[in-house]
Formats: sequence, structure tokens, C-alpha cells
Amino acid sequence: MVSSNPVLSISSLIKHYPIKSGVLKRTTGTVNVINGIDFTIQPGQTVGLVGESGCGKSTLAKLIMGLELPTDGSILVNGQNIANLSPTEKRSYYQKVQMIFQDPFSSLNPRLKVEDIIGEMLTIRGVSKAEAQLQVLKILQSVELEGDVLKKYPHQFSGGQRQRIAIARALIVNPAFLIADEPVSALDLSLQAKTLQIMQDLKSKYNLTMLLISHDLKTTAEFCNEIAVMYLGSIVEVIQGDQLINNCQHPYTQALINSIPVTHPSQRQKNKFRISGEIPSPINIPSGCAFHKRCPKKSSICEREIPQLSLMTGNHSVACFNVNSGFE
Amino acid sequence: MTPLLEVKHLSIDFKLNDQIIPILKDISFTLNKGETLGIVGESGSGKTVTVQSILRLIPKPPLYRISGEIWFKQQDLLQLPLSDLRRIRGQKIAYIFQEPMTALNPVLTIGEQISEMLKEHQKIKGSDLKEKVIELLYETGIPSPELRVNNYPHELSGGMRQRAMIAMALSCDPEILLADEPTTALDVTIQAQILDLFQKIARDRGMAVIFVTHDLSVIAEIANQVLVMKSGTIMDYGDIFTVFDHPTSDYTKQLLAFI
Repeated sequence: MVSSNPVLSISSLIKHYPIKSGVLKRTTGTVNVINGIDFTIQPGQTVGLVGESGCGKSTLAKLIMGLELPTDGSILVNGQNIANLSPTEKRSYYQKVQMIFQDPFSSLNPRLKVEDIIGEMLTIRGVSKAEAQLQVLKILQSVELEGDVLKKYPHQFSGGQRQRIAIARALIVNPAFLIADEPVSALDLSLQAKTLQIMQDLKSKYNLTMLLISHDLKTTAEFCNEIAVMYLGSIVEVIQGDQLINNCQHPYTQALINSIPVTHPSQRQKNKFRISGEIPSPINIPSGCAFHKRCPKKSSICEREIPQLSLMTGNHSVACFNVNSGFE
Repeated sequence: MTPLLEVKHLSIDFKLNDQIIPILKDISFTLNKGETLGIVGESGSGKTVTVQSILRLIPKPPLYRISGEIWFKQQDLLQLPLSDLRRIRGQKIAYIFQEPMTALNPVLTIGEQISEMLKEHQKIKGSDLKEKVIELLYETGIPSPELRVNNYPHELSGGMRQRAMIAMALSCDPEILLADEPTTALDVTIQAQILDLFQKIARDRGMAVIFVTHDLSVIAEIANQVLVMKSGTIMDYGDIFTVFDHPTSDYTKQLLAFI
């Protein structure tokens, strides 16, 4: 799987937001949202990013999209550093990288018809209107929408249909890399399955490289080749999707998996492995391992030193001091 | 044993734009002491209307017609004068809303809001009052409750707010707790903690709970009885193992296939 030309390559990425207070707006603290992330995605791979809300998943997506600038570190997409793109380069960058947002009700312009929402992506790049319309029809078919939707406005659609319009809009420029930020979490259960199925089909059809951000571990594990688990701005475990449920090693990942409700009442267990408390504020990150305050398996070293993501086997890396010291 | 709550042939119609729309069609179920009933269905299936109708919380309009019986302590809640019903709301049957941020008053501290309940219904006063509030917050697992009583809702995380809501619902020691999607807006780790809390409360206090959710796996985690709803009708109803192992309707089979 290892190739020398990853689509996305992030190294020592840091994003801190200053907290300003008082009349003089002096910086009185920082919100440490991303604290040193190293991460690559190879062509054709689908990588899932999971973690609790507030762990920095969406900030990472915004950084990759160039919607926010990193405090430190670099993001390379196809070898090109996105921090210093000129406005013209930025336009061609968005030809390669596209994003699907969580909420299909706010991410589509309510005053534009579907043909313009999707077609705008092409006409802006100099494609003629007639040609654009042909392509829009084609892409709508691949997301299982009929041609008669062209003249309709977003409010005339259900949530699931809107999210498919958003997918069509992202895919019409034929991007090499797609970021999907919780694309199905706003949808009903039966629609989630259908939307994911469409995305799965498109993934193979367009040979997409994808970053799927989600808090739903089960679907992410099924959908993605690889899963990165994030906690307070750091990646704590990277594991193959099919290994996640049964073979994860980091206590945080295990706690996440144990928190998934059972699928049959007979699987209920007493005294499950649970983590207590909530994710700490990114303003005051605990010393050492950020997870040690909630970790049931911590030892004294966890309070002093920050564990680094280290390779265990094949494609599985974990950032935890206690992983090799013989717990279950 | 007579059931604690018995809903018989409940039907509800709404009137929207001069059109009469049936919302619930002939819903019947019972709830016994200490039992947790899970009501599950997709959005628009009528599950929220079902629990809200128990305390007659549905505004009119859109409510147009309500028929059937809801028996609680030899009283039909649907026929009860409003003044008597007020003595049941909160005191005997408490309600927990889906979105704690809109259900809590943003300009009062959570301590003040819980005290309000205790003063109104339990006539507790003075230093006993503060002690009781802290005790309730402690029971729902809020860390350092003596400091948290002075927090406003916006200063709490989503999970903490939901715990504060549960503390408020427990303040009058009700016999039935109605919870409408109380964990939907929460992270999976916090959801697991809140579900544990519900089970602990039901066990410790012998309280009956009706838990509304769209997530069948949440039901699998905590309920003894299940009611599966679709478009205002009951698709399946019964003991959790019976419904999960031998669903009678195709709809329930489909739902089970998704989880």
C-alpha cells in the first residue's frame, strides 16, 4: 500500500486560536485545537477520522480546505503546500479538493436552482452553459436523482436528496480528493444507509481518495480502509477499518467502541469498560498524555510525558505507553 | 397487578391548513412499576406526540381531536381538570426534553431552576433546599455539584445540561419518567454514561421510564418493553426479546436489519 506520492501529507500540524480579552484585546490564552498531527493518505484510500465532538476533527478539515491557516506545520496535497497558494492557484486547488458539509440545509444556496448550484462549479471554470448542463444531468444520475430536479430549489427536497445534491456538486469538478464532514449524521437511519451506498459506488467509479469525518464508529469502520482516532487535537491510533472493532489497542478507542449501544438485548453487559468524565477543554490540555485524566489504565509516566504515535504491526500505530505492557 | 399507566385506544388528529390529519391511530400500551418502555420510530412516526399526550402537552392548535383513555392511579388523565393535572405534571410524571438548551431557562442558574421545582411541589425551604439540590446533582453524576449549582445552562456541556435536566425531573421523586430522545444530541461516550444513569435511577428508585428514541440499539441497551411505531400506528409491541427475536411486522424487521 505504501506509495511515495501520497495525496495528502500532513506533518507536525498545529492550530492554536488566541483568546483575546479586555479593552486592549490582549492575548490571554490559547485554544489548542490541533496539537501536532502527522498523517498521510495514499491515492484511492478512504480514511475515516473519528473522535468526540470538540476533538478538532472539523478544524482539521477546514485546514485541509485552506479555510483556516495553520499556526505551524505543513499540509501538502499532491506535493503542493497549500499554505502559500496564490488566488489563481487556489481556484485550481478547489478543482482537486472538494468538501461535503454536515448540514445539507445550510450548505446549499436557497436562492439558486439545482442546475445552478451544481453548474456554477463548471461555468466559473469557463465551461459553456450548454456543456455544463449536460454534465450536471450526468452527475445527477450517478447520485440517483432524476433530470426534472434541475429547475427546483433546495427547499423542495428532503434532507437525503439535498445531501445527494451536495455530493453531486462536490464531484462535478472531478476532484482527486474529497473531504466529507459527517455527511449522513443529519439523516434518518434508512437514508443514511442509502446515502453511504451511493458514496461507496461513486468512490469506486471515480477512484476517489476520501477523508470521512464521523462520530459513528460502526459505519466508519465498514466504509473506510483506515481509521484515525483523534483525541484533543492529536491522533491516538491509526488502524485498518476491518480491525477497529476487535483489535484496537488504545484505551480511548476501546472506550469509544464499548460506548456503542448493543444491537441485541442479549449482548448487554454489566460493568462495561467505560471512561468517566468528558473531553477536557482545549484551553487547558492535561500534562503528558492528554487522555490520562479519563484513562482507567494510566501509569505514572502518562502524567509526565506525551506518548508518540508508534507503529505496532503493519499499518497499525498507537500512541500509548501502556499498550505493550500487557493489558488485555 | 394493575399497571401503573394504561393507554387505551389513543387516537389523535391534527388540523393543519383546514385539513384534518390523523397523527395517532388506536395506540394502546401499558407500563408497570420499575419497567422501562422504549418507543422507537423514525421522524414523524408519532412517538413524541404519544408521550406528550400523556401529560396533555400538545398545543391546540394543531391538536384537533383526541380520543381514548390514559389511566394513571384510577384517573383518566384525558378527562382530568387542568388544576388536577398540574399536580401530576412534574410531581408524579416528569418529562425530559430532547434539547436541554431550549428546555432550561438561560437566565437562571441550574440551582435556582431545581430549587423552583422543590419549592413549588415539595415545599422545601432554606438550607435544606440547597442541600437537596446538591444531593440531586450528585445523584445524576455532575462533578463538584456544590460549584455547579451556581452555573448557568450555557456554562455547561451538553452532557452536563442533560444531567441537570434529569436532576430536575427527579426532584419530586416522580413515579414515571418520560424521556424524549434524551441522548440524541450527545457523543457516544456521553450517551453511554447517560444510559447507565437512566438504568441506575430506574433500579434504585423503582421508577418506570418511557424512553423515546429513533435508535433501536439504544432500546436494545436499556428497555424491557418495546413499542415500534410508524405513521402513528403500532408495528410491534411487547417484551424486548420477543420483538428483537420474532418481530411480527416487516417494518420492524427492516429496522433491525439496519443496526
